[in-house]
Amino acid sequence: MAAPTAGRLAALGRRLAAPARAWLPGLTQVRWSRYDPSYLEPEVNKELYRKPLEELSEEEKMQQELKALQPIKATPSNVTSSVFSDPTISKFTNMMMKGGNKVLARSIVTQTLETIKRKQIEKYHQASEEERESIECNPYIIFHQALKNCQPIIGLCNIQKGGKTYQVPSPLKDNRKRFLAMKWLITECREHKHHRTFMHEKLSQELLQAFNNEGPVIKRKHDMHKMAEANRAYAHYRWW
Amino acid sequence: MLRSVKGVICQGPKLDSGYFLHASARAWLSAAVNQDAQIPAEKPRAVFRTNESNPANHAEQHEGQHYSIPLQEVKVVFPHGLPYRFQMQMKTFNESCLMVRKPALELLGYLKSTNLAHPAIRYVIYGEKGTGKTMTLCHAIHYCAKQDWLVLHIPDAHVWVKNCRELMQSSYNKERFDQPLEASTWLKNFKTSNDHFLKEIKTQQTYMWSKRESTEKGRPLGEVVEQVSPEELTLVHNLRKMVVNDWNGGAIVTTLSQTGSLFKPRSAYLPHELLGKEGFDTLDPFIPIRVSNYSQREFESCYQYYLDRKWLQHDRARTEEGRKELLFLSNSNPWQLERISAYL
Repeated sequence: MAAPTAGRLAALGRRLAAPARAWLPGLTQVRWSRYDPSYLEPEVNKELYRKPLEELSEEEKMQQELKALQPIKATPSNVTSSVFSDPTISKFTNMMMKGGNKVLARSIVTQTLETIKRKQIEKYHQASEEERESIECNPYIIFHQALKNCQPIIGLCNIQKGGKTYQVPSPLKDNRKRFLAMKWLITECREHKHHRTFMHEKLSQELLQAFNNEGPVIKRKHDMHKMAEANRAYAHYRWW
Repeated sequence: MLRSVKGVICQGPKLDSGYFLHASARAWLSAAVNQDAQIPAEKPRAVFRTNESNPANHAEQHEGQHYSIPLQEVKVVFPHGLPYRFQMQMKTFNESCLMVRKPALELLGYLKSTNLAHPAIRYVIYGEKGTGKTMTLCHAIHYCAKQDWLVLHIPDAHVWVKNCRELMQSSYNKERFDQPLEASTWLKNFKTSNDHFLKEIKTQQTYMWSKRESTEKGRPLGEVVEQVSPEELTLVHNLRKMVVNDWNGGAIVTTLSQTGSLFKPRSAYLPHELLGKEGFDTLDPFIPIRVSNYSQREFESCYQYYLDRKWLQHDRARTEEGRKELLFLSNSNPWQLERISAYL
């Protein structure tokens, strides 16, 4: 009798102790979670669990104790404890996905990585000794570097003033940059591809071009920069 | 009646394999890039590679090691028959390396001790998907080509039965149908691998060959294909005549595969399941050779080979964690391991 009421009291206490900014008058939450705010995020990294007790700092020890008592959210199915998992690749796969067909999207991405690796290794084995050091064979490094090269530094945003909408140059957040790079790459491959070419073939070509700072995606990034430079006069319209 | 003509058997120079390995391993290393650490580098390299390129000299000590076939020889011996992914791998690495495994050694032992006067013995290589049946067959073919046997290699009998574009009525027997496209491609490839034998044949009869060896990929017999059944196809009819062991002076080696077979469940791999009653009765009696997944040693060898050829590029793949994960994900299945390491 006492134990269930104690549990209910604890839940009530947690809800009352939750910060008041969870709800403000005039603001409705767009993204909400079915989980109570007290639920903790799951820890998938195996390395952290293997550390012996002595190496943990005070903060980490407190976190471990908290995890023993507080409830933990369920892990989503696209998160793994595999050593080969890469969040950028997962994000890219999700953006490639159409109609929930993750199997197809993932197979395209893995085939792309394989194609890039094959091309580079062929070049490596046929090159002379001096050129071999400059050839990059790791498809993951090529992928990350290509995306980095495609990210714009400055973006444009629409601001309405005096009845007209102006394209005002403004800084971009990191997430927005990554999103734009991936979006441009995927759109470019989908639109300007011969219908008989495979997607992974076209994607591998674009990624290798972007790695060398050439190609249509880099051109689009430069176009964005030029537009921002051209609209410098309106920069003061931005108030944040 | 079949007459067996004694042909000239070509044999390579008999070398003591141990000395040969040591001497050529040293010579090979001296050409390597890393000139400084010769002696410590010998040990890891010798684990997964061997310089014994003649399959006749492969013994148990070479088990798990890769031996390379020169690319010129590959073009002659294997105009068709190597799996597609292996051909891509050959193109990427600029070399073709086969792993020496127990089933292949067993088969080579039987082939070495064949009595040419007795009727041809049938061998059936079977196993689960992706365990290396085709590669075992190719290893045996390489051995036979080196021993100067006549090799009749039919890579995939399913190709002859399915998706036929042109059918011509056979002029020899009105009830049968010819497939000119498939037959001509196969004949071209047959010519590439057995050029020197074809000059000795004067007549069109097939009975004058010195040593005969035929290889076919087994498939469930007696399946019905759209309009035409396999009994009515000339190619299939002649194939069945060859598989019946009423001739002497060679061996028949078959591989059973579920891929490409019609109306068979994916988990079926045993000869009785895949061949059906009719096929089993035709092939019976035969010597079964089971091919299974990689052992610990073979997996380690394959892993080291991929690392050496720079196929495993992910930086975590080189760690112990990555190796354990590869072992787990592929379950030591050669096909699965190859597909996973392709994108890592």
